[in-house]
Amino acid sequence: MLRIALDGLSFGSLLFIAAIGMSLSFGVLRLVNLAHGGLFMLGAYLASSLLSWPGGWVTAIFGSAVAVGLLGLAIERGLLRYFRTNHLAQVLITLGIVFILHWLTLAVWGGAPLLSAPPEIVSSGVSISGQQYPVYRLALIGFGLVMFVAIWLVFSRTRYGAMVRATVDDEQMARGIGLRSELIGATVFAVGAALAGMAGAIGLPYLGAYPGLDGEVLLFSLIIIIIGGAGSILGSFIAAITVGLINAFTAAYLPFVSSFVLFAVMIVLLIFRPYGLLGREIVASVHLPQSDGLGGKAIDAVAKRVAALRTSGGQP
Amino acid sequence: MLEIVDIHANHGDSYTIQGVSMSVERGACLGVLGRNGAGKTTLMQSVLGLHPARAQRITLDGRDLTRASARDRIRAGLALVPQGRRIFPTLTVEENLRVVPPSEAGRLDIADVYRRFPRLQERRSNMGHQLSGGEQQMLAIGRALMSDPQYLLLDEPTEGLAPTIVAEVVDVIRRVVSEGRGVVLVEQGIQFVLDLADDLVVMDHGKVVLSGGSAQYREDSGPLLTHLGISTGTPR
Repeated sequence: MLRIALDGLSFGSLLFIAAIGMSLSFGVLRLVNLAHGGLFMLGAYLASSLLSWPGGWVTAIFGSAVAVGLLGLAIERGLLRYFRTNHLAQVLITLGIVFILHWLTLAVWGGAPLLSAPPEIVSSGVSISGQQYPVYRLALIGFGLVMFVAIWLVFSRTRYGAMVRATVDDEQMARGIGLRSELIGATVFAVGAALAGMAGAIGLPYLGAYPGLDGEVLLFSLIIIIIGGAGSILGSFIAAITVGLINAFTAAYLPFVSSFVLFAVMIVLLIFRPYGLLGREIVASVHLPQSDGLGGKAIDAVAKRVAALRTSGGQP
Repeated sequence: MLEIVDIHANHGDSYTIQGVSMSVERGACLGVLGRNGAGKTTLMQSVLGLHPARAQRITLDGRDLTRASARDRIRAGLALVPQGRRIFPTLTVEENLRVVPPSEAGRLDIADVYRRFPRLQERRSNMGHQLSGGEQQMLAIGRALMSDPQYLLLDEPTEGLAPTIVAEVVDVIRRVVSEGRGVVLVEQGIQFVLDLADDLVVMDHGKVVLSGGSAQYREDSGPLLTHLGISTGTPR
């Protein structure tokens, strides 16, 4: 029982680090980023290669975080910032990035699953209930807690955190007092991507790196956002731990209905708390120009075409 | 001097601001009157750069800000107290003030804002959404003053406030003007504007339909009432 609970807590901690970036991006920027799972997967693949570099795990974890964070910054600055108010365009763009990342990782690392041993310092085991339990998984729980406290402190106790919350509250007014709300949004997106990359690296000995990992992580992240509430750090933490525990216990005792239980919890919560445990209604307070430029018009045209096909039942 | 020359703006398909020009000196107050939908709020947001607009010229103490972003206009010395206060509800009073970036002139000490609004100091740890309407208005004015602006745009600062709070707001605006800052005061209350403004403009359907010194209208507000569509109450 204790081992199962620890499994759930360690998986939940990893999910928190993976999902918090997506939650903040949606809560702060109103950006739907379906590529978040792909960023996690890229972090895992990058870490598997960086492990052979000098510095080993330190290089792998921070190298993956920085590389994926920079890619996130490029995605936000280069593409998504032009579509702040157009969720359909965001879905199409990030779905495109999912495909690009999928084929890119397949081309570079191949289709075979990659797994690595945990870092030397946490590679041993401790005796729990008369059985050896990996220290690595206990370290995951500790790291998840440290990341939660660190992220919470940054967002609730620093001026940067206040600027982010001001932007979440009223984006136009944040600009109206002179804040660079676009830059603030870009840093939040980049940090969220970096956290996803870092989670991919840290989770390499646990989940590995394989084609399809992105979809699994994305699904868990979406469940966490829905349960915890978009943009809520505490809500995401509670939701991630809850999802981890449900996943571990149902996998142990009710393996045939494991996924069903997760979705059932999510559906019940959606009925009684549509914005999640600690979420707020997402108000359209983004007052940025609509898609512009040739690329923007093209995406808008595709988005409108998709919407038209959907309403016409797929008839052109 | 803050000078706005021939500014135009749209709100959706509606041509909201149709070539408005106005100016205010430092240490003076310009009142802007107009009915609901006259375009006053859009004008204030356009002057700050929050609302897309095109103007022949916007200058602040001779400095051309016509093509400047909102951030650059704020850094140059403009600040807005918006209609409906729009303080940040999930930030504490202190965070609402500290989050304001400095302008080129620097930033007011937070203690200075607390001296002007002692009630805010008492409520410094409270979230914005926990404040009363009057306290929120004080916070909105305090927040705008934090960047030490040379010109303050006040959009309906007395909306929904109790008379005692309105009197406090009057005192605050008088002090701001006496400090040598220019004030553009948008209001619907004629008497309030006449009490505070040196000059005034009346807007209707996005245009200035009347302008001049307010002293003349203190004695005879008939023309104002006519332009604002308010009956003078002359018995038949």
